[in-house]
Amino acid sequence: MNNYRKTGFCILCSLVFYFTFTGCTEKKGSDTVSIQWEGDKAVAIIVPQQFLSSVPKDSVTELLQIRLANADQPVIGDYSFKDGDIIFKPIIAFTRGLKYHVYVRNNLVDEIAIQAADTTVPRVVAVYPVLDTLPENLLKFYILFSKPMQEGDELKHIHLIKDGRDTLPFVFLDLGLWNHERTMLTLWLDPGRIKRELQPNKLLGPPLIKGSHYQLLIEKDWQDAEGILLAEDRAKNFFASSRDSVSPDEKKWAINTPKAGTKEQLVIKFNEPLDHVLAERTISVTDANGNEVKGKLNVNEHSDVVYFLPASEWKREMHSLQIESRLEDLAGNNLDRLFEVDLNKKQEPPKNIYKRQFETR
Amino acid sequence: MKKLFYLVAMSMIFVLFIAADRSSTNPYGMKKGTPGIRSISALAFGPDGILFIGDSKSASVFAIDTKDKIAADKAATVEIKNIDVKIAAALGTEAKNIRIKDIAVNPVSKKIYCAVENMDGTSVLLKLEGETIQEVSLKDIEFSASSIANVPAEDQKDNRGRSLRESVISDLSYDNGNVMLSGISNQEFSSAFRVIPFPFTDKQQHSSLEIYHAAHGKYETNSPIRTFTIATLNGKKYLVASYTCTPLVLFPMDELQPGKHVKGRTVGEFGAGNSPIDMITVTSKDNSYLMMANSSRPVMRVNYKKIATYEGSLTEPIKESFSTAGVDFVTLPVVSVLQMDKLDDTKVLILQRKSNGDLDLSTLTDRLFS
Repeated sequence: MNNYRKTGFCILCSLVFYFTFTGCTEKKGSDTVSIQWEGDKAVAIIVPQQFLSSVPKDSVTELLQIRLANADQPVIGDYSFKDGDIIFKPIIAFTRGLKYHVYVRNNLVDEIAIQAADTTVPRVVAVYPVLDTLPENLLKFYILFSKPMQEGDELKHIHLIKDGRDTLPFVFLDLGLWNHERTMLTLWLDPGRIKRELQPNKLLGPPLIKGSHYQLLIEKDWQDAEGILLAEDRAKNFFASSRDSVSPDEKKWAINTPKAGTKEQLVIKFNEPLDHVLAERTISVTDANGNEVKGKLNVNEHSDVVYFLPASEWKREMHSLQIESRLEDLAGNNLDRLFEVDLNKKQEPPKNIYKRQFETR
Repeated sequence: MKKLFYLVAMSMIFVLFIAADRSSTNPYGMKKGTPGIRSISALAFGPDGILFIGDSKSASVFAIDTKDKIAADKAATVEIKNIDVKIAAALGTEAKNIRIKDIAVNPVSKKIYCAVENMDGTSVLLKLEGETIQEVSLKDIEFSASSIANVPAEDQKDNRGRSLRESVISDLSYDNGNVMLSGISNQEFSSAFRVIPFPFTDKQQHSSLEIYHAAHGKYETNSPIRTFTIATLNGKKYLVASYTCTPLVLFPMDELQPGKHVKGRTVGEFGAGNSPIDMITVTSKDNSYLMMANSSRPVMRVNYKKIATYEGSLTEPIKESFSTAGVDFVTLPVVSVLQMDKLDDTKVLILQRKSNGDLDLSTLTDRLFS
C-alpha cells in the first residue's frame, strides 16, 4: 500500500459516521466519538456530552450502550465522566479491525471502526532441536514464532508424517504449553508412548521408531494473537536414530577456559546436544567467592555448545560452572535421573546443582 | 432530656458503626485492594463464596471474596448454546478471539463463574446469571494471595534470577482448609504439586509426589499431574490424579506432608492416544463417582467403590488380568467435553464442543451417574 492510500485508509478508519437522532435527543454537536489508545490497544471510547444531552447523568450506564456491529447485546465495561464527556472502557480492549455501534436510548447514533492491527505476518523462526538426526525417544520440540500466537487447538496445525506417507495420530500431548509471551510452544511427544510398558506404549508403540524418516509439519492456517495467519508452512525433516538412555554428564564437557584480564568467551562443549531452552536457563558461572559472574550466555543452534561472554574482565582465580540438575538431553534424561527410572537399580541421591571448576588462564 | 436523647442517639450510631466495621472484617485474613492478577489459568471455589484463582503468569494463587453467599439448594438446569459467541459479544469481540480457560460453580449460590482469555492475553472473570453475562470486578475487592514461584534450593541462592521457571497451572482444587494445585513446566519433564493451607500464611506445604507404575513394576517420579480431584474411599480422603502419561493414581491425603515423598498407587491406565482434561467427584445416593473428561475419548465414569476394592492390592505389579485397563470404568455417551464442574448434587455442568463446531454449556443429570 502506498503512503497516500495508507493515509486515506487511516482517515477512513478514524472517521465517525453520524446518524440522525430519532429519539428525544437534541441535534448532534460537531464533536465526534473518539478512541482512546494505550500503546497498540484501543482501551476506551470517549462519547462527547452532546450525544447525551437528553440523558440524566445517573441513567447513562443504562441508556448509553456500545455494541459490536450487528450484535444485540451491549459490551460490558466501565463508565466514567470527564469534563462532561463519558468514557466507556470495555473490560477487554476493542478488537482491532472490528466496528462498534454506539446506542443512546436504543437508537443507533454512531459507528466507530477500530483500525486494523499491525499486519506483519507471523513466521516460525525456529524449531528445536534443529538437528536432522534425533533419538527415537525424543521427548519434545520447541516451536518459536516471530509474534505472539493465539492459544488453543495447537495440534490442529501440527502433524508428524512418517516416511513421507503416513500422518501419525496421537503422537503429541495436547497441553498448549506456551511461554508467557506466547511466542514459544513446547510440544511433548506423548510420554506414555515413550515410556516402555505403559498402556499407550503397548497399544500404540513409541511415537518415533529408529531408522524411519519423519517430517514435523507446521501448517500455515494458524492465527497469531491479532488474527493474522502464518506466512507459510514450515517443515522440519529428521531421521530417528538410537535411543538415548544415558543422563547428561557434565564431567565429559570440554571447557575452553578464558584468559584472566580479558573478556574472552568461555566456551563449553557438551558431549551431546542438550535441550536448547534448558541449556540457556540452567547454566551459570560463579567466581571464587561463590558470587555469580554477570554476563551473557548463548547456546549455538545445534544445542551442543554454550558461549558465556562476561560483562567485565575475568579475574585470575578458580571459577565454577553451576548446572541445575533439571538440564535435560533430547530424551528427557536430566543430570539427576533418567527419563525412565528403574528403581530396581540403586539411585544416586538428587543433587540439584552440579559443579565444574575451572581456572582462568 | 434532650441531652439524654442526644447521648443515646450517639451511642446507637457508635454501635452501628462498630457493627458495620465488624461485618466487613474478613475471617480469612483478606485485605481490600486490587490484586495484580495477570492471568486466570484455573478456578476453584472454597468456603463462603471464596474463589481461588490460579495465575500462571504471576506464579500465584489468589483468594477473592466474591460476596456471592446467598445459598441455593438446587441449581437450575443450564443449557446455553454457543456460549463462546455470547461471551464474545458481551466482551465486544468475536468467538474466535477468546478462550474459556475454566469454569467453576459456586457451591453456595450455584452460580457459574467463567475465566476467559482474550487473544491478546487479557484475562477476565465472568459470572452467569441465567444467560446474562456479568463481569466479576477484580478491583477494590477483598483478597489474599500466595506465591507459588519456585523457591531455589539453598545452594542456588546466588542464582535466584535464573531459577524462576515458567509453568502452567494445570488444575486447582480446595478441600478442607487446603488449596491444592498442579503445575506443568514449559521446559523440563517434572512434577509440581503444592498444598497450600488456607487462610494463607507465610508457610507453604510443598509435597513432592511419587507415582507407582504398577504395569511394569517400576517407580517413577516427576511426571506432571494434568488434573485431579479429592475423594473419600473407605472413610479416608484421597487425592485422585491423572497424569500426562495417562495413569489414574491415588495418594492418601493425610500423607501429603511437607517434604515427604508420597508414593501413589496406580489404579488404572485409561488413555492410549488420549490425555485427561478435567475430573470431578460426584455423589449420588449411596455411590460416589469419578467423572473424567478426555482429549480424545468420551467422558469416563468410575465408581469409587470399585477403586476402594483394590485397596492394599496394588502395591505389587498389577497382574495380567488388570493390565489392559486397571479399574473398571464406564464410557458415557458424552464426547468432546472441555470443562466440567459439579452444579449441585444431581447435576454436572459441562462445556462441550458439539459435532457442528458449536461450543455449548449444558447439564448432565444424575441419570448418568446413579
